[in-house]
Amino acid sequence: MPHVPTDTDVYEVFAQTGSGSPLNHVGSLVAPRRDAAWHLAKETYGRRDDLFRLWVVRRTDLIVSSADDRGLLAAKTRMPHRQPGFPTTRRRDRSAAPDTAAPPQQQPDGAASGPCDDPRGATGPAPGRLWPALAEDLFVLGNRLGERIVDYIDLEESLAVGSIGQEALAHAETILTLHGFDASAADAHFFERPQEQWRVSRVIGRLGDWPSTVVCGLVIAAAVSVLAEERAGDEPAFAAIRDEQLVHLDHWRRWVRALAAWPETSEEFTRAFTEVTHCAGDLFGAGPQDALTDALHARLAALVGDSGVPGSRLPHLPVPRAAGTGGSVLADCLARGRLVRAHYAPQVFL
Amino acid sequence: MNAPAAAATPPPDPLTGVVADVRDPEIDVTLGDLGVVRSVSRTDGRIVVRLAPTRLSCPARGEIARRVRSALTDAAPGHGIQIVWERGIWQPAAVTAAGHDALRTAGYRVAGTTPRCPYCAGDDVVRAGRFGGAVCKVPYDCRGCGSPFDVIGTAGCSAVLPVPDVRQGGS
Ligand SMILES: [Zn+2]
Repeated sequence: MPHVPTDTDVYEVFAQTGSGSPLNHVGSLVAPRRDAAWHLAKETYGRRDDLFRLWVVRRTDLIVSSADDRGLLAAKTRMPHRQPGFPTTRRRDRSAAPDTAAPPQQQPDGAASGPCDDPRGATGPAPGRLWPALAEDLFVLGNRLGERIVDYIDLEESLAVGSIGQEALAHAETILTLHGFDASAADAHFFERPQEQWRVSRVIGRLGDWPSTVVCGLVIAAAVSVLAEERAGDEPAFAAIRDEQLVHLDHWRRWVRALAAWPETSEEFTRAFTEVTHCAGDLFGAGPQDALTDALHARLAALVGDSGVPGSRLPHLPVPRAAGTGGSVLADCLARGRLVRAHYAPQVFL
Repeated sequence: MNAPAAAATPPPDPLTGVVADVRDPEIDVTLGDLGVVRSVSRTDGRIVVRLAPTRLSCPARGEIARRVRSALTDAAPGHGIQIVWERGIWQPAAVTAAGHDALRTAGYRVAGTTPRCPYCAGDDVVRAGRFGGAVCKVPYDCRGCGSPFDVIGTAGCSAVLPVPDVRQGGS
């Protein structure tokens, strides 16, 4: 039944941006009074464009249809292509697309004591070496993804890649902070060390085409979430890193499955998946190999295997990291960082 | 004037209010109402402000720090100011009632509660993607009135939303 809404503080805003264009509903707002609603509407919707007309109407002054009025409102000669295309339809369709992501091996909020029974690894030698190395990987990945956000015509993917890149950089900085770096030391660590001192994973050198970038994103998100789980119980920042990286991991998994499934991309993707996973054996290879790194590596392998795509060539045991890897990807990243940084205050970056 | 150092529960420093009244640069809400202000204390002429970013990668941290410094310099000139970011501990539950109202006025809902449309209060809402226009926002659509809106929260917080969480995979 058509009804009169009862929220007296909600207003609907209609605006016309040119004499030839129609008056459109542009949004809703909440305001305590009518005059405040008018000013808020002018501020909110008249900021970007010169407005030709602006209408602000209290929602209680409307008669609106209900969800079950569809039949009542249906045209006699109904044609699909004349359905109103609400701007949210596309987003809704996307979000309703089948989500085939499988749950990760272990629930992060469970008491999940993994196969390794490490005493939280707070001061143990291995995690202390593993973290700064993964921070280097995150730093390069974040920069690389930042370059890519303009590659998309798809807004959602740009938002996703922008957010993941931004968070990868923030995680890199947070990891250093948690290891005693202050802001200027972290800044120097990323921007002033020569490339020879970096010890990025061999996957960084593969951050080229999109299929390889997707697999790099997948294995790095998997490794960081696995290691963050070790400390999530005693340090909330590690718990936040884990939670955010699991969101990234899920995003990359969707891509992995899509690229593997599409006939146009499957061959190229399979090759990238094979090569990048083969390089990923050193993600936990920054310290001495021990029971802990073996266990972490096993959990990484489980997460990668969980992607539902065959062909992983991740080695069975961790492989030591080598200095001087990263090639032109790392070199470009460092060069660009130094170039841009020369023109801004340091705190702009970290 | 020094606060009693060893008091069991020292009263909040009056400068807490100064910091709490600083406005967030992105949304028209105060840092206090957003639950970002953890503590403000003074030791030896130095003011230490502890803030909890809503997200590790909050891009507004630089501007928030600048505004806090500026407000404190006006209110208590001549003090050194140290801003400490306490990472990973902000929770949606820290948003005050006034903060909820301010966020609703700006078209946002806070994670951790049943996501409801800020316009019609309906709960027939669907998540419209996993990444919004900022890292702390998750886009939703209201199926009741058609309004899009954002839920503010962290990745961790999304685990308590009663909608299929990304971590749980397929619906
Ligand atoms: Zn609604």
